[in-house]
Amino acid sequence: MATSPNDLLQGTLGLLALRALRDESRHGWGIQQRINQIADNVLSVNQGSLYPALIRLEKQGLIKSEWGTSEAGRRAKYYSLTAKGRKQMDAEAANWRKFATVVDLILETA
Amino acid sequence: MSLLKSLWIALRGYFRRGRAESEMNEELQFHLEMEIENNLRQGMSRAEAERRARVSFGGIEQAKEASRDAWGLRGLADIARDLRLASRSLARSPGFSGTAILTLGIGIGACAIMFSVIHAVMLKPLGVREQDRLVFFWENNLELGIDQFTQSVPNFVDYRDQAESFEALLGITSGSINLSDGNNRPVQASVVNVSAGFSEVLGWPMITGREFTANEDRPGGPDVVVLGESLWRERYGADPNILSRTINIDRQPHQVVGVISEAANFFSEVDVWKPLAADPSKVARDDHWVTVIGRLASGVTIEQAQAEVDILAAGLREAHPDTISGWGAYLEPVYDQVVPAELSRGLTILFAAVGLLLLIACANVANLLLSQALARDHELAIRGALGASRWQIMRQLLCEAAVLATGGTLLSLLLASWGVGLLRLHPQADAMLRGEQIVLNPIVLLFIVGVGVATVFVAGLVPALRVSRPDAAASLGTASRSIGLSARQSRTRSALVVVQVALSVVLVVGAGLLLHSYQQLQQTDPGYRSENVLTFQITPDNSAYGEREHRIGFFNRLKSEIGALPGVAAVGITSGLPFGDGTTSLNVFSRDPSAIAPEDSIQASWRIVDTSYFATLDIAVVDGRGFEVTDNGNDPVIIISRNLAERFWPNESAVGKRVSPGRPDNIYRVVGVVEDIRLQDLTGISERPQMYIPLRHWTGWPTVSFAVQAEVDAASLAGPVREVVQGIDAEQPVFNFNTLEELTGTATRDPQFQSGLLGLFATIALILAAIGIFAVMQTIVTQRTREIGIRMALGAQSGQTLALLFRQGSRPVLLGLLVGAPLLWPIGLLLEQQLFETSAWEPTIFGAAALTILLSALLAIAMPARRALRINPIEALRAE
Repeated sequence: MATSPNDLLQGTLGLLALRALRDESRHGWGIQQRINQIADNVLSVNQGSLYPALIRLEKQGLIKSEWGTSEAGRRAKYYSLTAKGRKQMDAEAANWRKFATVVDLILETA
Repeated sequence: MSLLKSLWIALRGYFRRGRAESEMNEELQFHLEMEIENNLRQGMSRAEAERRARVSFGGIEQAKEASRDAWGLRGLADIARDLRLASRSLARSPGFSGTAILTLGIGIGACAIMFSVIHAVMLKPLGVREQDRLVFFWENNLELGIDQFTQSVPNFVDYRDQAESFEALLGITSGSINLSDGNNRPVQASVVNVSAGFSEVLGWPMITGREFTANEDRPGGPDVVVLGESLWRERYGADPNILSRTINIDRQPHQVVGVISEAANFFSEVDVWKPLAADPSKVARDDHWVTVIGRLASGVTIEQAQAEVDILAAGLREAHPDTISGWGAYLEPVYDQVVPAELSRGLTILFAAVGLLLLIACANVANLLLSQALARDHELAIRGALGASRWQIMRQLLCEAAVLATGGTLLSLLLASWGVGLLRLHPQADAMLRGEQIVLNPIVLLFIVGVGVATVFVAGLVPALRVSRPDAAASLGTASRSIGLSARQSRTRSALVVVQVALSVVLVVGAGLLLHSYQQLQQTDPGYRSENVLTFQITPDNSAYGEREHRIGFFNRLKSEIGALPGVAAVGITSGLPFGDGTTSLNVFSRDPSAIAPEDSIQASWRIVDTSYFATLDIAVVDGRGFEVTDNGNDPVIIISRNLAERFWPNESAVGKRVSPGRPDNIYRVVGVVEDIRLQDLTGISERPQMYIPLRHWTGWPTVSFAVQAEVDAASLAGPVREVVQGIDAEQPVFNFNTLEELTGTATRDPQFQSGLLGLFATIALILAAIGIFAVMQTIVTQRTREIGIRMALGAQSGQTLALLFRQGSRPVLLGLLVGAPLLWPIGLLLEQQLFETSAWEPTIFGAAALTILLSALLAIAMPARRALRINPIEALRAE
């Protein structure tokens, strides 16, 4: 487990979840599917850590949740971005790109 | 703000955690099912799909736990759990918990009672709107040494019309009237004449109708009255049509325009209110008899107002030099008048006393908690060894203190409302509490809760700090074998006992001093006979007895018919009884050569008395004679008291000398000298010498008091006396039936109240301290069972064992007495002014207090010690 991609994900799970909610509101499973889909299954989200992350995001006021009906007609909790969350996502994405670039640079020149 | 917000979210989460839990379960369940369906779609078997879904999710319980952490509820949930744990562990030892809760309940309850009293008496004593803006507006005459005096009507009218610092100035005079209305027996009723607007200015609501209009408050205005609520309820059965009624006041019909709430009670209960209708043209400018209350205009300070009235007063002096030269104006906050320094000092002392009591109670609970915690030394050591942090163990103990304090606070509410009810049985306290003000108002409640929270820390912190540092190795290794308490813990507990004893010393000595002083006061000889004397008052109606001869005839008939009643020994009449209402005094000058310079005077109380007054009250005539029926004013005579006689003529008889009471043109010849009596101050400190004027000379005094010396129970004569009066004149009210003993008793009410309460507090303190000592001894005996067993097995006599225990138990008590001794210094200084014929450094009281404390300590030691004697050495050793 020590060097699995999931470790890398811990810090960025929040950002990925925000990203997954950019275009539409989703339930928890949908968020996980969307992340897997975007990441092309290279990164796999530890499903157990997704829910605490969602609670933290909600407490920070970045996302909001409400109960709705799923595609299959079942009751499910849907998450969506708040305005604050959208701003935060952009800011964090920018940060992340900067960070990735620097890491890239270090790797290239090392 | 954000702290508050997250606290709110956490709290909301905490209380909704049941719902949050189930929503979380539902959400995770949904997730799993979606995953399973997804797996099924990929062709897995049902069992395989479920297994894979679980595996890829990871630990479901971990996820839930992580989610709960993310809610941020852990701290709260932990404290809730600790509180539950504490409640459970306290419930397991009901004896201990009960004692602790009772102790705290008594401590907090006593504080709550005193705070209610102080709140009612000192903080909000008046029951008026914005009392801080109300001032008494006195006149003063510094040349004559008069600090505060009522105003004259013309001055009041001038001030009222000119002063701008006041929103309103109310003139007030009070008196009594004959109230009749054809239906009921005529009664003497108290009346207050007051300016229009008083209900509004003082914030006293009208029950029905209205108060006086400015048009009614003018000379020659209509005859209207406002009734007091209790008169309306009691005499008129709360008649809703009261406004259509006319009632007779001094036989003149008056229209009722309103009924005012019983809150309207400034000096004492008022039956009838009439417009003041101040008429400056009818009253002299030097006739000072209007009490004036001002309401300061918004934003005006009392200093600014004083500056303005000083200027106005100077103007008035200049305009009327012949009548009011020397008179100025003086503003005094109403509060200072209503809460005299003496009263607030007495209450402060009592409040300090309950503070000490609460400290003792806290020390007790700390001690009990410690003994409880020590018994669990082992458990706490294990918790510590298993990784519980110091804070966690402290928190557990503080939670126990919190549970106890909650119980104590709830109990204190009960005790306080009960205690205030008891207090009200005491007439003095009831008067102070002003009837309506109840203990459980929001401010008092807030105070109680605050005190409750404070006790958690005061009582819980010492044990928490002590116990949270257990020496795990020592506890686990030897706790079950240890002989005696660990030195550190036993020191802490002994220190708590020392504190309790020292504080008890203060309370017991304080109570002893006040009780002694009260006893002295009670045993003081007032100088007159108070046993079995019935008193009552009559205001002879001017329309029937305005003529001097009618009045004297009426008095004579009353005297002879009352005197003829069976069981009556003597009847006397006076303008004012000792400790009755109202005092009268005048400066008296000597008109013959005397020890006092002719221009100097002595302030002396005066009373009008009839020929048999001195005999009725057993006041001895020491020189000359008493009054006779021939003393009718043609040749003015006076009787003076021994003190006055000796000050004027220390070396010769005063009989035959001439004096001038009040004014130089009043010349009276002294015909007798009587013993001084206590008229208004039982301690005698502020008592003035006295002089008496014969009733047949000054006949017109409005309200006279009768004293009836009885051979039977004095109170039982009230009925027959009333019948006699009604038999002579059915329209004449007779009122204020009392015994002279009751009147004299009013002088000792304050000291009785204070010393009684302090005595009660001291007793409670003693009991609490004894409980503390008892608890310590109990633990000592338990922990030394084995040692005592060994000693006994080795042949120790029970006497030696007892001595051992008493030595150990009494050490902190003796130390407490020593520590308490220096505390007596400030107590003495504080109490000195309250004491009557009692030294604040009375050695017998100190001795008695020390003895009382020692005895109760010995009692507390004796019970556990007796248990130690019954230890069976064999069983004690085998128990290991």
